[in-house]
Amino acid sequence: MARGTSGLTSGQARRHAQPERDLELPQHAMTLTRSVKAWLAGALLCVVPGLAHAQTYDGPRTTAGHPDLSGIWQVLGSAAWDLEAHNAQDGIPAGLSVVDGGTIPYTPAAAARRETNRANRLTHDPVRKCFLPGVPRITSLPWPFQVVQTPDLMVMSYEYAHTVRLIYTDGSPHPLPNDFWMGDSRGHWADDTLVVDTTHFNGETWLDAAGNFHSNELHVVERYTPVTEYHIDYEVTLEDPQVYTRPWTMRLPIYKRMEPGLRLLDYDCVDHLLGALSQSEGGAQ
Amino acid sequence: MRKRSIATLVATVALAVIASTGTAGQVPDGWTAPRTPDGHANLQGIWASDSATPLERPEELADKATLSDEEVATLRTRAAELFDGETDAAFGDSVFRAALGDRQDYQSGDGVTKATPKGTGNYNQFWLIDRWFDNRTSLIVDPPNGRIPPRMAEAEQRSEAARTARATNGPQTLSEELTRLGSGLRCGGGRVPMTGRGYNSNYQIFQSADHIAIQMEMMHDTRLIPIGDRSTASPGPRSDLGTSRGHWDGDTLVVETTNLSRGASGSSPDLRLTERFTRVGPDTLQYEYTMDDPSTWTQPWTARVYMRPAPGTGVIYEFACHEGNYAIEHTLRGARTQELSESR
Repeated sequence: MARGTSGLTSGQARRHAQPERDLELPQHAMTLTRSVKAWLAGALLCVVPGLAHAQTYDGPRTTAGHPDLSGIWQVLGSAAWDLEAHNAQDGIPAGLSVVDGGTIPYTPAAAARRETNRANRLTHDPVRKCFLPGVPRITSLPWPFQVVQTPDLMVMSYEYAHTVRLIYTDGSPHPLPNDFWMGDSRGHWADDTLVVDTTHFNGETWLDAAGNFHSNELHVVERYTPVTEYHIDYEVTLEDPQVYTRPWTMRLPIYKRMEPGLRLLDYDCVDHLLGALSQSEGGAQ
Repeated sequence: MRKRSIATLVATVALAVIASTGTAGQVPDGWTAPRTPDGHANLQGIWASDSATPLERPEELADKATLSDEEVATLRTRAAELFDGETDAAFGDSVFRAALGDRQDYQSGDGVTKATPKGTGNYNQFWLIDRWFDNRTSLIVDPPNGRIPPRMAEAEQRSEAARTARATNGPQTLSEELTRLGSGLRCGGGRVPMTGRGYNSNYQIFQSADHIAIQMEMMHDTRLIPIGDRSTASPGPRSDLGTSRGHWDGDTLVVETTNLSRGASGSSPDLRLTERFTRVGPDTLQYEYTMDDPSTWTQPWTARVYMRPAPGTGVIYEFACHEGNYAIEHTLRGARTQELSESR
């Protein structure tokens, strides 16, 4: 069956000094499962055309058979400004809601807090202070990010303030309680979808620039489903009993950056913040 | 015959003891590096750079490239006694130099001015990682004297001009003042070459088929190095980490970096940095870096660092720098207070 592009021969596979754990199951079990799946998929495709979506990814795969998400990606649209439907403001385009059902289901107290946040967003937004943006806001910010994918760990490196997320795909659990700006992320593959479970947030981040927020009980499940090698369906479910009346879902596409020779560049947020500060205080620049 | 046998036995044992505490870089017999799925040496892991060896051979050691095992043991004992967690934090070469000089106390020297002769102190050594000693007297392996080569006249002129400008003109604007604080204080980007030791000096290496990623704990910055394409860097904005290209030379990963936004070790930003990563044992990563800047040094120079698996939980935790950084606010407020008191 087709596997990535590594050209690894069975002889080379036997010479591994340490097993690389690039297969979740023993080889023969993986083969059997995939054969059964392929047969079922084929049978279902004949009968129910609408189920073809899950099997249509034909982009690059790793030696373990998973979609290879390596590359530089970026979100389009204005979700970073406001996840809900919004009209334009100076410098900010209008946008449709990316939230299933249109609006975020806040509790009454949380809804009031959101309005306060929104009214004070120019001073209270943690990203305007150059604090780490949290998840999923980091994905939707208008800066690219680069994925380097290995069997046990995926590095997501973001141009914005050189933020980094490590997605552990080695089956390890979330650690003992601690809190982080970017949370702690554990991922696994469900067919061609990378499912990333993130907890251990410190409650200091917002979801966008419009004051949408969460507490330190936030639990985020992201689903990255590559559709073609050029775009990923990104679906995020957020759960936070302190703030929302129920779990809710947002979704938007992530696009591959195609420029040849593209690399992540610097966005040292603090330097620009201090530059703006010095101008407002009468600095000569 | 019996005497000779005993003498031989003693000599053999002595040689074995010396050999076993020899240089960190000796490859164990019969060992080869594990492989990644695409057949290259597997450099992955979290590597800690905590050696005590100074960058340059201290003057008092003249041309002595190697310490005896007794000398290493002495330094190790002195360092353990001096740095008991109660002193100022000792960064970089300070641990080795303090042990070499058999210092009985250690103060950082930070903030020492005529007005504040005792200085301000700095972190407590408690927060830093214990450093380990081997019998090298310098990280620099080329030139053989273990010291950075002489500087070019133009580099000296550059430094002198900058020093004079700073000394004669206080910062004229807030922006200048902030720039002089340095990017580390502003929680800026990471640095290359990777010379940090003993303090957030953990580096996690990831290998895919066509990229190496090196996550540097300090400043949570990640080096993203494409493998294979050796064309010269596309012109474009300079950046903190420069533009890197990697290729394999046998089991050694070679990374060439240019296009830096600022120099390193006193170089100009036009530094050409070549790094070589080789796994020389199950628990040892050899990291060599060559600094080539004809406008700064009369010849390129090379340092060799040995890294070991990170101690403790073996995880790089989130490094949230700016999120808790009051240093800039306090520094500026202190400067304003000082100006007010001086003007009265």
